[in-house]
Amino acid sequence: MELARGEFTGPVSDMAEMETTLGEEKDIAETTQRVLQQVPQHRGNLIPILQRIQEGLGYLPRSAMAQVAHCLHIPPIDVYSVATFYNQFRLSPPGKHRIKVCLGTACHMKGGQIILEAWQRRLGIRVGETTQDRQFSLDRVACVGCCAMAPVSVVDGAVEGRVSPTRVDGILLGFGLEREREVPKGETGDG
Amino acid sequence: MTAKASADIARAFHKLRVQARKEWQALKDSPKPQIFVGTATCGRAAGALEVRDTFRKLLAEGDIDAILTEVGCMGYCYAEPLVVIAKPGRPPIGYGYVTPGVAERLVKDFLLADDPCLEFALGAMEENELIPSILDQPRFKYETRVLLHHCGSIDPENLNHYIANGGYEALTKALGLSPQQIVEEISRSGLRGRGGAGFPTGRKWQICLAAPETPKYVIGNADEGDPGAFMDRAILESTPHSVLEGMAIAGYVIGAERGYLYVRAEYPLAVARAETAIRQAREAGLLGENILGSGFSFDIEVFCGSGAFVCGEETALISSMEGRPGMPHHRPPFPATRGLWSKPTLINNVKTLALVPHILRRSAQWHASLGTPASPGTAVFALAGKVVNTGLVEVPMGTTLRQLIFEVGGGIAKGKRFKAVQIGGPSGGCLPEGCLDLPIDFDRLSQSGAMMGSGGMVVLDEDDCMVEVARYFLDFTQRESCGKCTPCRLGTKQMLAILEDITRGRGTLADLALLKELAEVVRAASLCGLGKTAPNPVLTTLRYFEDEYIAHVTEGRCPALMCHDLIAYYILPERCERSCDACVGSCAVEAISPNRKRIKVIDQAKCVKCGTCLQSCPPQYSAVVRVSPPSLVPAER
Repeated sequence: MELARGEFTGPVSDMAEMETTLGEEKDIAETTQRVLQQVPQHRGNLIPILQRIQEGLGYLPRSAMAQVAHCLHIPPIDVYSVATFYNQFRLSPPGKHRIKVCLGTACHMKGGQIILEAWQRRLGIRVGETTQDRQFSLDRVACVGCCAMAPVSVVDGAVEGRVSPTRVDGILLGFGLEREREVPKGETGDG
Repeated sequence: MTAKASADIARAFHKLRVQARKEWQALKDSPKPQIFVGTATCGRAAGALEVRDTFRKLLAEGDIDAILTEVGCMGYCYAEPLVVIAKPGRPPIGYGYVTPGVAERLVKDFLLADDPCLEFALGAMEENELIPSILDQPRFKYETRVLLHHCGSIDPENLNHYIANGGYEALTKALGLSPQQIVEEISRSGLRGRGGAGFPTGRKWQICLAAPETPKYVIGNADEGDPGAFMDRAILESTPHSVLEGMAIAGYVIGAERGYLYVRAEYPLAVARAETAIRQAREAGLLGENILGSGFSFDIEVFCGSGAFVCGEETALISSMEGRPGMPHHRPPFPATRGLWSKPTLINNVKTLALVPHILRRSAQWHASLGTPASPGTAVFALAGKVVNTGLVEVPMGTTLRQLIFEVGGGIAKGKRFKAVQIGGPSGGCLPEGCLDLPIDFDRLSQSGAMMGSGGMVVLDEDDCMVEVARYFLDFTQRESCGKCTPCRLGTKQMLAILEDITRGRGTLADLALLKELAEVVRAASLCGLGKTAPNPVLTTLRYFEDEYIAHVTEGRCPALMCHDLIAYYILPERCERSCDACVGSCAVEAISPNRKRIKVIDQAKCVKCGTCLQSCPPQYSAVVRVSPPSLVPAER
């Protein structure tokens, strides 16, 4: 376990090492088993298998990767090398709200980096990380194909076009208000 | 093949076509008004689904008898969401920037009353005497739509729409010919691979046909990882059957029974529409066992790529399909003789495959007559950046860059000056104004240092820093380098470090020479196309915009006022209005405050250079400016 800790930096390391509860562990095992039954178990299907597991769980937990390796009769390192090679896979649970900042060419030329910095500054995390409270995760994407609306951020699957740093604050304020409504008064703390 | 067998195939297809034409004609001749909404990804991002739902709701509520059809990408991305309304007795009219509010007006004023709401119209979709047509726009003088012909005019989820417009005729014809005859026809057409490198398609097919081993595979490559390119996606979302038909013909020629369509997982809509199309084709007997009773069997499966740029390279793509990290192999052996699971595999870009049915249906001579003799046919570009009309365009090869940018693209937005055009994404290069009269074809672009690539074209204006552009692309390729070969893995890393130094004002003149030397090594010694082309953005900017590099290293100045560390935001005291506080409120980090005279001052230590103050300063004052080098900001007294 000591070795694995060094691979991650920042808040993610805390997430990755966070104990999964028994309930989560059961969910992981069931989802993985279901996927392995749906897809023929041979090496060529490794990527489709991992894609489906991630679709179900939002990320690839260590135990799921071990289970896949066992069923395909390949060493776990082979699964891990595929999971870490491709951009699509993530090894830590995503936040409740997923923010993806487009850094395609058009977005970059229109200030995508500035928008990414604004998200990082406001959330206090870096790209690929999740906030401590698991509310937000931040990712960069190469291009979402809406170059005419640059710079673009994708917030929970919805495309926000022509984003400015002020808009970033506005989106976060909206989530803050939403949370205040959900949490009963008096427990909001610093809001 | 006997005459009777080919007659049977023709008869089987004829039955499908009669049915399809009937449905299509009924739609065309319908007395009901028709509404077409473009719901490809670009339209959806702009809100096309809300517009579609508004139409649906209003039609249901008002009990209006009209036909609502979803179509693919029409190519005018700048004006999304797009809607076309065809009302009997009027030419079809195209509307741009449609919002749910505009949709409501269109239903109430146009469908119910008879006011076509021309204030929202882009123009009529065909020549007529009443309403100005969009065909009069300069772009239509240059555009020749072959691949994009059906995009935006047919429902991508309706097989009959495709068949009624000539679809699957080429497959039917192909099944009556021998594989060798088809290869010869493709060779005569002069078709070159549209994935970027431009390898003659006929020759590739010939090699794969001659390979003795079986089984063989066909792979349609839609792993479009190039940021800023989206034509493969648009084709799969708008006319997926054209790709399937091309793949089936390829399968027949080389003798394969299985095909894979390799699509990026980031394109969920393209994946869904391709899967729908495959299902429909199977049900109609155009894919699967014994296609049209010919005895030829071929089926297609979608494989979702997991987001690795290098997987656009054919051997890396094959590695990923075998469940391994996408690392390329040394070639030869080429995949055409030894590919997926070590069997002969034909890999073509989906644009190449989608062109094949057009060539077989219309003849090789027709295709060879388009474009230039060495690069026949058309080229599809995703036009983006600082150009007025962003979107998908298809022009014959040989069109000049100037025509493409200034006539088809409508010139530079906001009256700025053209600086460069970046072609071919991270593998391509930046060409300056002096290269604008270059005709677009595979060979001429390569000679100039750029590359056709997959067709991304980003127009840059005077506000774009060429060093930063080179850094951006190298940052991308360096991240995406798979790490297998040393020149690419370490070379791009070192080049990026030098470029970062330069954009931060820490570079020297000696760095420029080192950068160039490294770039040449990476280009010469890398294993695959990613590394071989990664230095192109650096080499072309060094070649055409060396003065900008020199300004960065000798003066610490970014001429385009873009590089973060070399600029500062400054409020001109003589222009700042005492009573205005717009910038103070807008600043995300509270770096702006008024001084004793109520003139606003930026605290340079706090400023994160996000540019919000520049945007928020009212235009009548325009007091916020960028200066470079930052030392030009006078000390506050």
